[in-house]
Formats: sequence, C-alpha cells, structure tokens
Amino acid sequence: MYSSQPQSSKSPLSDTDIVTSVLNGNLEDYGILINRYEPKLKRYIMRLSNISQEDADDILQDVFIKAYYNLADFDQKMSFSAWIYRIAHNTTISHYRKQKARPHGNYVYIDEKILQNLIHDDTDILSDLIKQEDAEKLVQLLEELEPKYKEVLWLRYFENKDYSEISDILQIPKGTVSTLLYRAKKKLKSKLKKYE
Amino acid sequence: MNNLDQKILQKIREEKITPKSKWLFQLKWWTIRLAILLSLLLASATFAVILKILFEGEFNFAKLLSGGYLIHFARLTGLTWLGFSVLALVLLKIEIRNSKYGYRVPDWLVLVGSIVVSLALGYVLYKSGYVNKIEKPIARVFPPANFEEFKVQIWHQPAKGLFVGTLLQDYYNDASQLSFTDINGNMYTLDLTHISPIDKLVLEHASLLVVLGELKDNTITVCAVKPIFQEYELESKHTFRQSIKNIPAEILGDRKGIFGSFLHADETSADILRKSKCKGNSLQN
Repeated sequence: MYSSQPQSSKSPLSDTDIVTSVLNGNLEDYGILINRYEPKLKRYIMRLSNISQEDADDILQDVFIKAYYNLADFDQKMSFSAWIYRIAHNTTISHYRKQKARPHGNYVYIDEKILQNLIHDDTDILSDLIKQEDAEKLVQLLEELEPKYKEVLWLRYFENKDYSEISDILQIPKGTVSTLLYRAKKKLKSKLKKYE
Repeated sequence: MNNLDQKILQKIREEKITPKSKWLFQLKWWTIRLAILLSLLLASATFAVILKILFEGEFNFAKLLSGGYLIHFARLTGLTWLGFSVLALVLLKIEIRNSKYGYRVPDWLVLVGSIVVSLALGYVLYKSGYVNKIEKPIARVFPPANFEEFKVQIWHQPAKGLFVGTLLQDYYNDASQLSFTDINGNMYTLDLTHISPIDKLVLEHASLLVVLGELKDNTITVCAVKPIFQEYELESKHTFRQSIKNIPAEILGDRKGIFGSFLHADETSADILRKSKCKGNSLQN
C-alpha cells in the first residue's frame, strides 16, 4: 500500500504506483505523471494534428483532466503510456474534427535519434532520404499520407511504440498495425519516387 | 517554465473534479459482457431453428414442393431466421468491438468465432428439443417465422394433387372410403382402393395427413398418404415407425424412401397417378 509521504525525493515510482497513490487521495502525485508525460504527449499531439503550441497546450490540458477523471478505469493489462496516449489520440482527433480543418505549416523538429529508428527499421528508401539530410522533406511526405498511415508511422518511429502499444492506442488488432505499417512504408516509397 | 502540472492540479481542485468511481466502469464493462452473452444466446437460438428447418424441412421433397432447395428453404421461413441470425451476429460484433479489449481481436476472427460457437450451441439446443420453446413464442408474435405452420402449408398444393388435412372418422377394417377435410375446411371423400399397407398404417396413426391423389367430383382417388406428425405427437410417430418395421421386406420393396410415390409426383395430378404407378398397388414393382 502506498504511503502518504511526498515521493519527489525518493527514486522514481512506476506509473502504476502513482496511479494507485492518486486514487488513494494523493492528488499531488498526479503532478509527477503530468511532468513525466507532458513533453511526449505535446510532441505527439502537435505531430498528429499539425496545430500550434497554444492549441496543443489546450488539448494537453484536456487530456490530463480526462485521464484523471477516468483514472479508475486504468488497469495493468495495458501500459499507462499506451492508455494515456490513447486518450491524447482520441482527444486530438475529436478536437480537429470539431474545428473541421487541419492547419498547415507548423514545423515539427525531428532529431537524429528518430532518424536512426527509421533507418534501422527500414530500408533503402528512408535511409536515402535521411542521408540526404532532408528531414524536412521526410516530414512533408509523411504529412501527405492518409491519417491512418501517418498515425502508425508516427507512433512506431517517432514515439517508439511497439506493436502492442500501437494496438492499444489506436484500438485496432496487432495484425492491422502490421498491415498499416507495411502499406504506409510502401506509400512513402512511391511518394519518394515521385519526389525524385 | 511551463507549470502545466500546477495549472491542472489547480483546475482539479477548483472545479472539484474527482475520478469517476471504478464501480461505474465495472458496471459498464459487465453490461457489455452481458450483452455479448445475450447476443450469443440469440445467435445460437436462431441457428437452432435454422438447423431444425434443415433437418425437418423434408428437403428430399424440395423439388416437388418448391422447385428447388433454396426456394424451399426460403418458403420454410429459413430466410426470416437467417435474418435474425445475421442481426444477432452484427450485434455480437459491435458489442465485442466495444468491450474493454475486444479491439485486439481481428474482425474476421470475431465473426468466425461467433458463427462457430453459435452453431455449436445451436446444435445442442436443437438436439435437446429446446428449440421448440424458442421457435413457438417468437412465431406467435411474428407469424412469418412460424416454421411449423409453413411446413404444413407447403404441402397443400391441390393443383399438384397434394391435399393436407384430417380424417373425419377413424380408419379401421380396411375401409375403402373415408371423409376428409383439408386445412382450408373443404370436405372430400377419399377413395382408398389403391392404397398400400404403409398408407394404411399412416391412416391409423397420423392425425394430420398429406394425401396424394387425383380429384374428381369431390372425391380424391388416393395414390399415397404421408403423415405430418406434430411436436406433441412424438409417441404416435414412434409407434408408426415401429409398425413400419413390422412390414415384410417383400411388401416394402426397394423403393427409395417409404414415401417414394410423392417423389415421383409431377406438375399435374394426372401425371402423379401415371408416374407413381398409383393404379393397382403402388407398392408392387
């Protein structure tokens, strides 16, 4: 059973332990989860919807409030990360459906580590593009993909999620994740050929 | 520095937001599980009735009665029950998809699994006889689903020499004529001079009959008779089958099926008599 002492000075608690603590009434510990997931979720929301930082902050706030409200529904059959990413995903989709338009032109930085993930996992096409240090072009090509392909690619290579987590986030079978990834890479390849 | 955590915690305090009770989530997931179970039972029940139609629909007479197997199935309320089963399977799919982890299962597996489980349970319901407790109440409320009713009506085709009805008196002492009323209330006299020993057994045991014969001047020259045993006549059906076994083989002959005369029937009653060799004793040759 979790104690009521502040935990910030102790070794990091697992997400599950923090959830248990919050549900036992220790609201302050929810702040640890927020700090832990804020940068990742914000980056994900901006990639998914191509919105400004300010709008992303609003959505992020909604996400954490919803997560808090539904905290008792979280169980250990999935990772907390997948669970909160799912809330972020659904909230973001819902937000830009209400807006009925997807803005353009917000630059999203891609760091070297992410490029390395792409190279290791795939092939000549992406590594060629990356070798040309044309990360910006890569992002542009990714943006041109249909949402269902873009989502799985972002989650796999940019958020470093495995197939199980992607399945839980998008609420689709693992086999479908695999199929979508395969098709997404194929489409990226054909777009690259046109670009060349 | 971004103090998002403090902003959110403050908002939670100010608006007095509390986590939803876990019991509400439990209620939601258990309600969905119950819905899945009920839909599975519904699908099984509909498959049980479909199996009943397939096993008891007398498809060996499909060409005679309906012109083909598919039409025969449709006429016996098969399409109605197929519609119910499709509805149950669609409900199952939606419910499983909305269950807590149902999204992890591919759609095709949900469909195949649902069909397999429903068929298996349906077979158990059919074999155990519970199917009758399912079909009748639904048929009372929704007549197009009344298989037993349509099974009787489908045999009544006077243009083909097929009459469904009941005797107005008991058959005994090798009577050569009997009064008969069909399911529409029309009265006839049955001329029994050409019937076989099997036909006599049918007249002795069955209350609802199919008479195959030629109608002339309100008299039906009977070529063959077939019983339609109702669900409550299981004992009569059993006794009849036992009695058939007592008929010597040389009299039974090697006709395909006891009611082979009906299989030879054709478009007109005259053809019926000719092709089924009704004149004389239909059991000979």
